Amino acid sequence: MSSATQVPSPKVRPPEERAARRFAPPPLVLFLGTRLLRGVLVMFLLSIIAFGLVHMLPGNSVDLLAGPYSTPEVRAQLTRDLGLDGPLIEQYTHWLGNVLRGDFGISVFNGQPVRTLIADRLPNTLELAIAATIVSIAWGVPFGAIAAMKRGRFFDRVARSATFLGLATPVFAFGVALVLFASMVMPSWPTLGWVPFTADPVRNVQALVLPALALGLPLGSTICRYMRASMLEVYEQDYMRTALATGSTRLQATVRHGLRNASGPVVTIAGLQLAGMVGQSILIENVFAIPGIGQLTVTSILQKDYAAAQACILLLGGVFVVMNLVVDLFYPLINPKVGGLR
Amino acid sequence: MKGRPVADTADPAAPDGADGDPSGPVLAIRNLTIGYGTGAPSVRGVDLSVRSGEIVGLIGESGSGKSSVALGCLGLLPKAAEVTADELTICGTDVLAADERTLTRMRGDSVAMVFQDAMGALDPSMRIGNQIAEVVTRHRGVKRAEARAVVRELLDKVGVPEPDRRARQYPHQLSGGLRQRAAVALALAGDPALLLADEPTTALDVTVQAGILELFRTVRDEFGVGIVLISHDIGVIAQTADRVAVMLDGEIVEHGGVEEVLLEPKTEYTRMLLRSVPHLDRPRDEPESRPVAGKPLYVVDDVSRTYRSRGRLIHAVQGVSLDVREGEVLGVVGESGSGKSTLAKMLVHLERPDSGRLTMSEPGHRAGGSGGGRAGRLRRRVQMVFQHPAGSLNPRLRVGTSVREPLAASDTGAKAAAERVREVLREVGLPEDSAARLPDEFSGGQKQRIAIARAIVGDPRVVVLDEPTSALDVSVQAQVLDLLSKIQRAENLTYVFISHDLAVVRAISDRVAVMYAGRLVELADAASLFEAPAHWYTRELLAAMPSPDPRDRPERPERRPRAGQAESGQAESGQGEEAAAPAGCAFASRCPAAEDNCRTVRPEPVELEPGRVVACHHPAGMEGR
Repeated sequence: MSSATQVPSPKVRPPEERAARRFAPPPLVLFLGTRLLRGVLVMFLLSIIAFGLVHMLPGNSVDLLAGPYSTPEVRAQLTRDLGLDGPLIEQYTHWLGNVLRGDFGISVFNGQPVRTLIADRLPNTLELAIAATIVSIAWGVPFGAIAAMKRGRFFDRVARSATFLGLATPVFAFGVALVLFASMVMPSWPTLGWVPFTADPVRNVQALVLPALALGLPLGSTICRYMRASMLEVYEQDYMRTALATGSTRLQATVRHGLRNASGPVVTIAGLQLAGMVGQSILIENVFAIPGIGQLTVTSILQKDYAAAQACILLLGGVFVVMNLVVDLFYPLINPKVGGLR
Repeated sequence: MKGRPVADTADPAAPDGADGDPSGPVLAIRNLTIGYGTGAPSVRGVDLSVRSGEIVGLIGESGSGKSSVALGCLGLLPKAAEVTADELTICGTDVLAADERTLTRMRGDSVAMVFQDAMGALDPSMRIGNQIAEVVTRHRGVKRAEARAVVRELLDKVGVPEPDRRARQYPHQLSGGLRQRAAVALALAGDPALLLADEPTTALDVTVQAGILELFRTVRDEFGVGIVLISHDIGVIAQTADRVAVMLDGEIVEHGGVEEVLLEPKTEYTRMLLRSVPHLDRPRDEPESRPVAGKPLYVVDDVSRTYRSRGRLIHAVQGVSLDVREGEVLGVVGESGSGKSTLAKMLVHLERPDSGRLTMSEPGHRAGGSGGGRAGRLRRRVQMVFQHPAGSLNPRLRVGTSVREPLAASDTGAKAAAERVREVLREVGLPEDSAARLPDEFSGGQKQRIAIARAIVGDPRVVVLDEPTSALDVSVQAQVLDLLSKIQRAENLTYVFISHDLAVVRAISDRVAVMYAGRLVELADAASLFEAPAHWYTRELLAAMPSPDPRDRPERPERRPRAGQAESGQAESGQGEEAAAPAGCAFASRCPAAEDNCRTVRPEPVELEPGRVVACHHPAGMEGR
């Protein structure tokens, strides 16, 4: 065994070893660095898929733009104008280069830069996503924890039935049901239509409530279930017994030792759920007529608007990657073993 | 709670019960019964009393209800439990009558508990110091800033070195021994009068265990705490307890002073329990002389195995050479992390060595860098029995199917195979109809018999037994050891018997190899190794074994609980990653005989006298040679 290959143990390190290790990157940096690199790689693969997928769709924007009675000359001219004449690989590298510079191209249908289209709609989608996240966590985490504390009691049974309902109902059906319910109970409440925050903050928030509930409650149901299961597992652990045996009340033990240890799996699943929410928002934006990224994605794919569709797919994937990175950032805070915090 | 008088413990055989005891017991139990539903109660009519400053040992095998008694004292039994007692008081608090608030105040304040698994008992996501401080602030009414000083003092008292640094660490950063010490500090944080310790050393290595038991004695004497020490290990009780109660099937069958119970047991059950305990000075009972000096059958030549774990290299096994002789039982002992299990896995080719060779001295059974086919053939000649019988048997397969599996690799016909399965099941002492049943229907000892049957069904030459009895109760362990000896003689098998328990190894082995930090440090025939150990590590191991005879107790003030330092050092070197001593002897930091050359030059294993290999510059008892 050569001493060069040996790395000191993590527990007690005599000073001379600490010196030998001085230039190694801290484990936390290493941990997050690898995650970041992985995210970049995923984005690159996603760009290929986004490009390929859109170009594999039947029909193309030239046919749609030029109409069925156009001459081949017109179509050839259009193809050249839109930059669709070279080999696909060339088109891809050209597109990727522009994307890296922040240029997503121009929408063939309304002639606006795709960047502007996205910039107009992204705030609305983000607002919806954040509101729905708050709804889902506010409903999922505490109710899951309380259900676990009161396992088998009335509260637990109600919470479990409610989450089952939330999981079983499709988001759009839930949205429609909410609209009907709201218009019956509070006819004056604005159920459909969107008002930007900048135009009228109060009416914006009013318009936000129902879609946020429609999107957040079903997702919160999943979080609630995981929270409950995770808490029940934690209750079985010896350290909870230790806490009780040293005079904590059940509530103190839950708050001080339970929640944090139970939150690991919940953070993982919540991260994935919230990333998936952007996809779900496509449905909700249609139900509530919100001009957001979801709507843009659907229309641009239907219209074979290559530039816009590619940008939207890339954006949706990017949200996934970023959400996963955020989740990874949370792990070292929850579990001191990850990232070798010492 | 402060200033409580320390009761005199002059009369160790004090009668149970509160009556007539001037100092008043910290725990008084009369006629405690704990039942679940309609079944027979798991605890029946238990009487127990503990006074300040005494350790009461509670011995019993698994399922005897000893842990239920402890949880009952805390009022922490599951809600389904029906608890009745004529008296159940802790420091005068009636546990059964108390409301939840009184119980909460009592827990930690008057009574605290130490669990078997300190890793599980400490919150993994919270620094040690904060966990202890939480209890300190709750029970001593001090501010957080002052609590810090109390925590430091507590950690220091339980023998945790560098308490300030340790207080900032998480449980996973401590070694097993330090973790248990931290758990004891946590239990003492509320300054309780009664400490319930449920198998507190069972998960620890024997040298670490000695330090923790010493700690309990210190806690008794310095804090004046009454301790209930629950253990299945009679040695632990014999070396630590003042009084002893023996539990069987939920009842206390015998109680009294430790010498009284363990030296002159009155009940047949206690006598049986004591008989089952393997003794260090009780060698393998040999009917006749056996050919111990058989020719080498399985030669292990300079084998190494390194794991990479999260960027760190773990040298699990380093340069181990030994020969397994035909027809012998070779014991392999060592602490957790000494590499003995990795060696076992390489012996049965579940792991491939990074370097070195394993050679079976039979034509066509050469391995070590061999292909899958040859490894497969070798596996049939070498079989393995694992520690946890329940985990090594597929719960969905009928016993007969599991046992027959090794035969599928050979060309045994269905009929012959079924006959052979019946034969081995009979041989291991299981009923005829076992083959058609599922593993769940068998007890732990019977499951291990099934595992043994599966190992021998294909007529192997060598059976590797990895801690085959450490998950079993002591009486069952004795039976399984007997069975193993019987089978070995009947089938002319060769065993490699791996265990952390020296007494068990002593009871079955012809020769013994001692491993430390991935290396072989001593190899000798059992008699000379146990009577005159040459390596200092072997000596330390032997000295740390708690003797089941209470008269062997160490003189009390001999050692203070400073052992924590050694434990933390050991946690590292024991893991086979002793980077701290890149060149020297891995044991040098703990060795009483270490000199300068021990830290710079690694001692190679040399044959000191015929049949005795020692890796030490200054072997003990060899000065005259």
